[in-house]
Amino acid sequence: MPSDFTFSFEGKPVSAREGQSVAAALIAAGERCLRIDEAGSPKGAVCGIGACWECRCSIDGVPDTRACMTPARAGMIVRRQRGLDPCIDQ
Amino acid sequence: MHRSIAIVGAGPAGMAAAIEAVRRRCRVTLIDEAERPGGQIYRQAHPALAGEEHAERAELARKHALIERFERVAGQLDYRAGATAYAAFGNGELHISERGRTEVLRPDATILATGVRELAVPFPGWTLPGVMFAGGAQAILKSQKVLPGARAVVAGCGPLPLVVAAQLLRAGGEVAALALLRPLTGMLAHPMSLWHGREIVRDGFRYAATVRRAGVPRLTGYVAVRAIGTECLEAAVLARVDGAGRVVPGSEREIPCDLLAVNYGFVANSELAAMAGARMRRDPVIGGWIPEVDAWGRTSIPGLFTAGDGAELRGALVAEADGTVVGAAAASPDGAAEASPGSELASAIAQRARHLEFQQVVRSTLRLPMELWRLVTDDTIVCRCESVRFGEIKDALANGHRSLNAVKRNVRSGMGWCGGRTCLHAIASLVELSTGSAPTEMMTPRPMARPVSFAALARRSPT
Amino acid sequence: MSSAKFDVLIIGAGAYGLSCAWWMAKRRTGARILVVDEGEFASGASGRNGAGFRMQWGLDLNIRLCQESIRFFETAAEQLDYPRGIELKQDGYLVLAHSPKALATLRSSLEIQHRYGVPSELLDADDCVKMVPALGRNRLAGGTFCGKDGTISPFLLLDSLLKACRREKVDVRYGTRVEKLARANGSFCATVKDGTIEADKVLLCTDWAVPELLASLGFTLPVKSLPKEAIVTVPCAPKVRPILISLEHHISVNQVARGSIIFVVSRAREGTEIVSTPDFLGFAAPKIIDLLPGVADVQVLRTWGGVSSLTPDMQPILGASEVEGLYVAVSSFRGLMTSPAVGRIMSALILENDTNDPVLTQLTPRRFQTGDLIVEPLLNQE
Repeated sequence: MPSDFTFSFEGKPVSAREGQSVAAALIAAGERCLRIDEAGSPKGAVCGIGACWECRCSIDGVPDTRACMTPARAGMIVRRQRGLDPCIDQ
Repeated sequence: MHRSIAIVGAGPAGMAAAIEAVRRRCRVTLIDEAERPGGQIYRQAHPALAGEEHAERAELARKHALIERFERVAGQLDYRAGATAYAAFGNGELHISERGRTEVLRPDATILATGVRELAVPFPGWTLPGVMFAGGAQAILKSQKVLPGARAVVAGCGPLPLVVAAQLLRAGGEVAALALLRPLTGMLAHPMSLWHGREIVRDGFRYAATVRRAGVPRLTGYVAVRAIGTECLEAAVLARVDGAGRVVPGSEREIPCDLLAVNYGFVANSELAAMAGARMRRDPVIGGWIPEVDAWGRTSIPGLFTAGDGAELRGALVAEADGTVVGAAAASPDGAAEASPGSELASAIAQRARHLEFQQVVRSTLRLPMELWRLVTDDTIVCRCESVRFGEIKDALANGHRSLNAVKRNVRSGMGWCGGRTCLHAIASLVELSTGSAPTEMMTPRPMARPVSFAALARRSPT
Repeated sequence: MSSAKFDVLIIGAGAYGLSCAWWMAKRRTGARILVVDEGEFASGASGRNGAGFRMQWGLDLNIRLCQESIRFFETAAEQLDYPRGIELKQDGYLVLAHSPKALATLRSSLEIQHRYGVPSELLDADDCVKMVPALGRNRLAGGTFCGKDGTISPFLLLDSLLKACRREKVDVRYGTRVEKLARANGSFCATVKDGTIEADKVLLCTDWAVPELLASLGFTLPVKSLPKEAIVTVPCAPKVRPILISLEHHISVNQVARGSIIFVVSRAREGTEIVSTPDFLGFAAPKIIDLLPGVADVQVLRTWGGVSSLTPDMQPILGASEVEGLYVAVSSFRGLMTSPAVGRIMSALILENDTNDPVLTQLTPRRFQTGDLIVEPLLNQE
């Protein structure tokens, strides 16, 4: 896949093209599980339009950011949230 | 005196309404969450992601024509891309947030052109990563240029699953099966109505041809009953249903896949209208709880209009025509415009009626039999945000808590991040299935339509 | 609905109504008790409040009502045979003063609290910020803290009471509005949509709406409605462990187990509608940030409204009315946290004519005639 830059997801580099959302780039990289909810269940993108809030991640230290609505940027630090832990300690 | 109009949503209805209101010399503020106009159906990819859209030429032509018409007048209106309308009140106020600040708009009229989201029918395993709404998978494909799955099973009812299956194939993906509750050929029984949507019908045949040429197994009368996997989706189980929507025992088929794209219809994004106090009615086929409106898009709140799918599921062509009509109405002090014969407005009204005739046929494919909701088992998560299982909801019903508010108070469904957007329609249908009657009232609509920080709420722009 | 006769008709199935019903049923087995409510389960103020309880009051009667009630909450799961429990959390209340005057009020209230054995302590501004780092120092003068104060789940309390009532054969009917009350042959007749209800005695637990039904008997009480609004945020990292009350900001803060923070913000308003008003968030957000700068970036998820009751001295009204057999229990915005004690006291009064509890003298409806009113000083609202 053509790539313009990389960002980090759980410490690993992920390729993205300019204009792609964090969710799309992660799906393209084979990362479907975007968070673990309070019940311990893995969750990923569902609605693609920002309505369901299932794809929320910690993005550059800001918790609960919808990955499908956030354009990926070079050097972004994206982390999976586990339960209520918002991963603000990058 | 130029009327001020606030429009929420820059999809086909919002764009058409904005164009019309500008044409009638109104001061228009258009609020939309995306960075580029188009809404969902005409979603535009970032310019850096140019390339194939895998959609039919006629649809693309309609999309580009409307967007071009909009871009020509965009400079004449206050276009707030990336802004969110988080509350609407009966006194005519519309509260918006934009880049860390909030603002209170007090327009002469507000048009809510907020469109629809997809209707969720829960089933065991549906919360696994890899199970997506078909429209969501399509959004990733169309505007992100990413294949949402290498090997997909597409399921549901209505036209969208066929379209998504074809687009996935055109993008180089594999579609292991296409399961439809009902054959789309049922639509052919209404040739006159189909004629009004002949372009769309022709597109439909082309999508069907793509699917046929690829040799995708088509399972008609089948639905997805289970998603299997541990960390993510690994396989989808499809089963046949009878005429009443009940699963036929022994008909299950397990199909390995990494994407299960499902669509069972749509729900109107009517939260702002309900929040402002508009009278609502419920129709599960055309959007769930929708505001009561007249032909001019007027809700029961003076000065509050709704247009497009947000008022009633009618498709993009109706939405565009409706936007023009409602834009004209909102531009008039008494909420109804003059439509003299031969005028553009009269033409939009006629177009709207023609396209609506076609939509009636489409609607017949979106009716969900009540028995289908038996896909939801006691252990199936219904409210995803709060992890509420159907069993808990049944207990609340058994204890006499029948309204959506009462169920919410008891099990917390609808109290999470999505504000009930994903689960409310399902819960209403499950209440009807379990008790014999559907709840008449929505869950009480309240701010916020979107979460907004205290800091943004305190940073209020002066009006 | 037939005109079956009840020993006691309780109007209002909130915390007061259900608590009184349960206590009455326990006191006299076989008593025919009916509770009616025009709304749904937990649809009134009992389901809309900040869910807290505190012993930190400035008047002995409030201290005692809450002390007794807190002891009940601590054993509610057992007493109501509700294994799930009512989510009792005792991480304390921190009552904050933002002026020397408010601090003086806290100090004098502390003395009274200590007389009744409330384990509360005075903190200076530094101590307060150490306890809750998200607090703002602007004007903060100090506070008092009592580690036994805390929260419960109002829904679980109501659910446990409802189930316990039904086990004791108390009839509880929702969606039943009493249009008017009348006396007839030494008992009462309540008119509802599809008939009438007859009862020897009536207890009004409709809080701010008590005057409506009293009016149909030709009487009144100085109870007003006080609409309030609340905010719940998205779940966030732990920031506020004790419940916070700011006397000056008129705000209470409760971060629940799942991480969401509930703010109840009071301001002088009229009306009885449960609505979220257009100017509420613009009003509340700057105050919340001033009180708790650490939450500035936390997002508001939802707002809601509720209606409390207001009395001239900000105290509950408990006791017999001027009409024989008719009783009232008005909470004056602290219904949840006094409901166990009130249930006990009212059940003794109504079933056994027991007027011994001093609280009944202090909170009698008749006190408004003598005009000798003492206002509770530790209020976090106007």
